[in-house]
Amino acid sequence: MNRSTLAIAALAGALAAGMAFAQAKGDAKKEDRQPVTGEELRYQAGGSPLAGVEMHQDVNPKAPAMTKAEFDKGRQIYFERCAGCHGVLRKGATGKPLTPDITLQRGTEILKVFIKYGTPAGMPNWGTSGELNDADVDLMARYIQQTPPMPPEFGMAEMKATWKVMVPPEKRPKKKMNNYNIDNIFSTTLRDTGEVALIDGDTKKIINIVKTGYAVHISRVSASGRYVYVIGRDAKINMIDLWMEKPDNVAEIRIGLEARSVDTSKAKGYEDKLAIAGAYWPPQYVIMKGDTLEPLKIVSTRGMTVDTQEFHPEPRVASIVASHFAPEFVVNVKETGKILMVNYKDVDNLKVTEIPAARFLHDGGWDASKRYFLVAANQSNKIAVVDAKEGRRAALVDVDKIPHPGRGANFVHPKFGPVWATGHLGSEKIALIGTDPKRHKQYAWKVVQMLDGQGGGNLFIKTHPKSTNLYVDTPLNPDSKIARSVAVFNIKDLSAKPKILPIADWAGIPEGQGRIVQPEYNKAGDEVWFAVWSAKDQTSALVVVDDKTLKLKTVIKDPKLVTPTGHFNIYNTQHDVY
Amino acid sequence: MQRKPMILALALGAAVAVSGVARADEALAKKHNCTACHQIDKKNVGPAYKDVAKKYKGQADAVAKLSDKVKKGGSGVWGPVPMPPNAAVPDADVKKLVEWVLAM
Repeated sequence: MNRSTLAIAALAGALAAGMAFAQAKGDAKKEDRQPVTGEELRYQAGGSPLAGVEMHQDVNPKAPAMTKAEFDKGRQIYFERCAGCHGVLRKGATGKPLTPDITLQRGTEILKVFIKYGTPAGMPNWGTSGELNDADVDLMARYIQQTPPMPPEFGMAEMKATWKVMVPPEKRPKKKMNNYNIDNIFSTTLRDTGEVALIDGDTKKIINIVKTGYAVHISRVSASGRYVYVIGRDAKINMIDLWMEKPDNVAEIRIGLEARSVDTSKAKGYEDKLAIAGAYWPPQYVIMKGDTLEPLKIVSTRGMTVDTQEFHPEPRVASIVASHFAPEFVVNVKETGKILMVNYKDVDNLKVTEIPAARFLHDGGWDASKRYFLVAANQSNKIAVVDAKEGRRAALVDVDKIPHPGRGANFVHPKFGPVWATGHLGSEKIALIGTDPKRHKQYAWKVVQMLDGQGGGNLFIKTHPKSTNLYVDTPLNPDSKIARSVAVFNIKDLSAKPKILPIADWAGIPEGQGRIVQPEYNKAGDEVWFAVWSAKDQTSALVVVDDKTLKLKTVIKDPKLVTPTGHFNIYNTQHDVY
Repeated sequence: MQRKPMILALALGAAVAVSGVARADEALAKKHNCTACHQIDKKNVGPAYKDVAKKYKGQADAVAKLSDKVKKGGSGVWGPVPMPPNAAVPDADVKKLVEWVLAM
């Protein structure tokens, strides 16, 4: 009797331990995040302009003491290195949340280990990589236990104070005053100098270098093709008039402290009438007059998340596109995972349709018919498809790790009909999604094929209606050889391996330097432009490739071309040709 | 015949007691931040608990040795990432946690 009792007790004990074990496993699973890749880190961990912004210090009595000077230094380091992943208010996105309720519980010593040595989940080893010394690591461990400082708001008064109209509409040319083929100009970001180079696509000569905000994220073109709107990371918008004898700035404004997106009204009857820009901080978008950038209406994006429906204090505006048919802007909000269809017909009585997608929305583009908008939810590994005509979500498509479409690439697949393609930051895959629910219903909103590119770290993918090539860059790949070259697929035979073009070698850029960014077609669709993006003190270049022969056509080098990144062809940007 | 219910009751009692302890230690590990770096069966920032148990299996002074490491911190055994000191964790809890780990 004694024995059997013991046996059962032991068995029960083992069972209980097993249960506890299973429970622990479940918990661990819940906490598992998608590991962050090096490619993504290079993407997210870029500096935020908020590093230089004075913020109020709210001393938390429970947190380790810091002097004002220490706090300011911690804040600067935080916004230069940490905010991209952990967020302005430290609520977490790609990185874990670092709010004081969590960090105070961990304590200084544990936090120091994480900061110095990193984690297998993807936190960089800031200490052992030599980027922060032990004193900095200690400072940061104490800093993140303080209440996150709130950057200042940026409302109408602040915007108006930065708003300048250099050339008012009535003093601008009534017709084009130059001989440039403006359809074929490339508006080229010079990232580190805070400029945009306007390059003549026909002669490959620089027309003008225009002063802009820092690290211009995108250039967008008004419906008429006359105006170029560019936005810097520091949320400064510049408006360039291409009709001037020497195209230059005619208006500028800051719409916040950090931003990524701008666009302009394209629907019939609203051509060039309005502009819109979205900010990272404060989390908001603003609608402006299209000819002067005068701010008309600011709308906050703070609100509830799409899945758990909890309040988020900093839902950043990730990207914006304008519909070609309806008077609508499509505003993609990162942290809430919502797509806002903003109808600009009546800006006073603004109508916004909120479409649920998935968390951490990023960028995207139109399908070939321009009825459907496809946008990446990159931490969810999904592409959300919006039917802009019906104003509702058409599908949510699972793709590979951290899709980054740029605007994507549209072409007709020999078997599956019209498809839209995206590359990935987190893998070498290129996903092709069917986009024709009418004639290829069985393939619509499904990944119909996955291609293998050179590797992860892809930012842009491109083709053209007149081309049979699909170009895939990999500027954020850790392998310099891969970052310095571009893969080209033949659309007619996608089972064949891609051709690799050694663009940086062609440009004569020394080994180990330069990353190839953004394939971009000229207006005719017969040549493709690439930026060879090197460090500020190194030589960069633009490389033009013949689309038919895949041979080098021209290398554009100039001492003024410092850190070129995005380069947007006016016609293709104006008409969303991609 | 009469004895059976008693056996069952005993067995149940033991089960509840054992599972209670196991859960308490998992919760205790969480409470004292151990799980920020350690998982039971997977290497994270720190070694997996199961690997720790394997390494110190059969060593008579393991409890004392590891308790000291938990309190004062240490480095070198599992790679360059150090274990930070945990001076604030009460001795009784440290012992409980170490015994719990070693029993895995």
